[in-house]
Amino acid sequence: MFALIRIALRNVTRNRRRSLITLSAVFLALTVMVGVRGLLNGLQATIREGVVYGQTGAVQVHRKGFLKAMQGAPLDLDLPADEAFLGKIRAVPHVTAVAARIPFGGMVNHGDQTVFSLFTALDPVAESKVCPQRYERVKVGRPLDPADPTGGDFTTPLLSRLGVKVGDGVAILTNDRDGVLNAVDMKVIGSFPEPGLFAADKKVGFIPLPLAQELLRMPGRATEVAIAVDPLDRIDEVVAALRPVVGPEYEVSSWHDVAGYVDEIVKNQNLVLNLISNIFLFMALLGILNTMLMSVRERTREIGTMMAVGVRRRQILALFLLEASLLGLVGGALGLAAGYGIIHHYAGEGIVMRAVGSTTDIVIHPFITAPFVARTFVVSIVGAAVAALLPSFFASRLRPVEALGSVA
Amino acid sequence: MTLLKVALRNVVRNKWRSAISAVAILVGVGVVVFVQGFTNGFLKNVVEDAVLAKVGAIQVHRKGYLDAEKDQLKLDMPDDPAIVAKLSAIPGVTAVTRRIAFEGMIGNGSVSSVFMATAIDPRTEYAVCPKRRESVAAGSSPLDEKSENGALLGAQLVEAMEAKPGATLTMLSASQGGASNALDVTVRGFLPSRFIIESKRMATVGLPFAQELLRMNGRVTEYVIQVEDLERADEVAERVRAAMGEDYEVHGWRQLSPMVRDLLIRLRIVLVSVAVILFLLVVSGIVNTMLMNVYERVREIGTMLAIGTRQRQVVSLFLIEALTLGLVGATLGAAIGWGVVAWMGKTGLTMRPPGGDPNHYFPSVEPSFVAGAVGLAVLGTLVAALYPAWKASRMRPVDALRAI
Repeated sequence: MFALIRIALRNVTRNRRRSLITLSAVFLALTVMVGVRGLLNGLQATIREGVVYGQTGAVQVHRKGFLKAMQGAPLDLDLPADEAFLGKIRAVPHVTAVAARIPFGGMVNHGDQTVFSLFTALDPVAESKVCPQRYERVKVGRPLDPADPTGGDFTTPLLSRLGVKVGDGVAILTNDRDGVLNAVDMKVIGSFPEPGLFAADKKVGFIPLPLAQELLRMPGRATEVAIAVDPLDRIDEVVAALRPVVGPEYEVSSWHDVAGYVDEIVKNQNLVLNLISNIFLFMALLGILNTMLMSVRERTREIGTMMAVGVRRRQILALFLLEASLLGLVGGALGLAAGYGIIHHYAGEGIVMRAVGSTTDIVIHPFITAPFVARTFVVSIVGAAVAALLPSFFASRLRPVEALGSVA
Repeated sequence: MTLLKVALRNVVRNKWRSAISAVAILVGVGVVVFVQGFTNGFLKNVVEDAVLAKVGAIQVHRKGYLDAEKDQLKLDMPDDPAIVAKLSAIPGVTAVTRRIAFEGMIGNGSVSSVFMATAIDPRTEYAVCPKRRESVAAGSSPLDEKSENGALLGAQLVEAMEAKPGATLTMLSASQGGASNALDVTVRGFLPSRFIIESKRMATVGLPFAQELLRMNGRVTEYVIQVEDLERADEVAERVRAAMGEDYEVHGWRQLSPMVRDLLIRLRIVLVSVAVILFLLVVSGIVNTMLMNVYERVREIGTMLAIGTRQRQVVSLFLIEALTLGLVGATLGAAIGWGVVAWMGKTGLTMRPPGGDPNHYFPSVEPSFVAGAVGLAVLGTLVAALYPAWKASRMRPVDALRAI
């Protein structure tokens, strides 16, 4: 076996230029595969984090039926926002923070301008732990502040529609829990360009929870509880543990349920990437097949000699498979290293990109995972061997007498 | 001529090697043609959905309307048959309709949500946006002259109101002066939910209903124009601009849906990158094959040179061999790719965008693109063969003949 490897190695290095060209194909294919995978990993992580840490939180608790009627933001499906209820949730292992919310629709008024928009009432302190990215999006002014009970943050499109700047006062009008119109005055303390990635609504406002409870006439109540989980891969555990804690009146949903489109986007992206990666790999392996075919033709006399001196057909087969695997191994290792190098180069600073239809930039930090690297490496070695099966078989079936007599 | 015969014989003689090189070219060209066809089908779907079902080819507004961050409703225009007649007379214009875009809150008394609505005139709208007629959810019918207070709404919006088709909801909106007004609407059916926002926020109502709700009798906010050829919408827009004068602004669909434009550009970039990488992989395979070819035939080349074949002829020989491989592989690849695209274009491809309803795509590819891909592949093959061919021609007959 060891002798075989030595011979295989020598054969690969003997034909330096040919090996180099074959290697470069494998190298190119793998570099691209790893690079694009890394970029997509980064993009998907940014999307996921944008949703989990900027919109939904990891887990949400509602009254039963709320999620189905979510677009109407029903106020009558409410829950207690007191320490007795929230404390129970906080006591579940891996839950790090709990924030009560009330999403509702209404009007913002300033002078003779009225804009219909969506609001989310947030607990200024707890929300900063559950969805810190919400606060980071505030570009002008400052985020919600417990010291400013009437201060709210609004999107820039909403403010320009009203003709209002940070620091101005506005009135919020909406129907309370019983359907009676109510209004409250508040101050714009900050603005952010967009509520989040893929956020359909551009005219959105965040207002302090106590103020909203007053406006909606539902003191001590909320309609949504957002929960932060650490580490994030314990979500299923937390969801399962929460169900008995909150009881059958409530529904517990992970962010996958609340923002199901994210999983679909990720799935679609992966599908396309895998398809293209496999085509690249196939082309590179065709190159190996070709190289091995030539190698067999070229070395007919050598094979004949080996057989004449008693080398078994099995060993000939193994020799050529080994040579191909060697090409796959070296090309794969170099390609992975180059791909990793590119990813590593951009991992720190990140790549700034703009999503289609969005007005704000996102930063992508590419990364690859060890299982992916290992799998790709194995695929390139085994794939090379598989590509060489046919030529190796040809070589092992040569008849010594004819092979020795061959001219080529 | 002899050269051609020799070259062909060489290609055929090395069946396996030729086949593999040709397959590499075939797969490369086939994939590029297929990806292009698929992208075309996807983009056509997106453009048609946006332009033929919603936006229209050209829109005319009062000056400043699109940039107006506030008071868009105040920038209105008379709902005037004379303007319609004037626009219809412009060469390239095939149909004209009027609309009002507005927003407000819709509710059932206890639950309410925000909506964004387009008010259309069903008598003329479908000539301008033909796809809007089909742009309803399964089981719903589009608005017609008799719809009156009927509205098409996003499915999630209706679901949130716990309403069903036939139910009555209330639309609340702010009129031009800022005063609120409310009117009852009947849920006539659902809009398709292609994107999340459509199913959450969108509504389509009849123009008379909106004029009453907004207290804008005899007024509209936009005139929308259909043109003969979407690709030349900008030229027609230029003529419309000249006809309408200073007080109005005219925009083609590209300016009106920047998202579609961005998507167009981005998908092109992806396609080109995939094609370039495939090209490099194919070329590296060809270089390898041709190099081998040269090494394997050193003695043959030596013999040829010894009996007086010119260096030029040796170069040509190898180039013709490469050309043959390139032509056969690329043509077959293009044919297969084209065949798959044509087949899919006939049967349609059903996919579901994230968060939306299933959608049908019809891939298609331009003959010029197929020709270009074949041409480029053949050219690439020739370039890849240049070095090996040159190397072969530079051999010294004496050394070459002695080689084993």
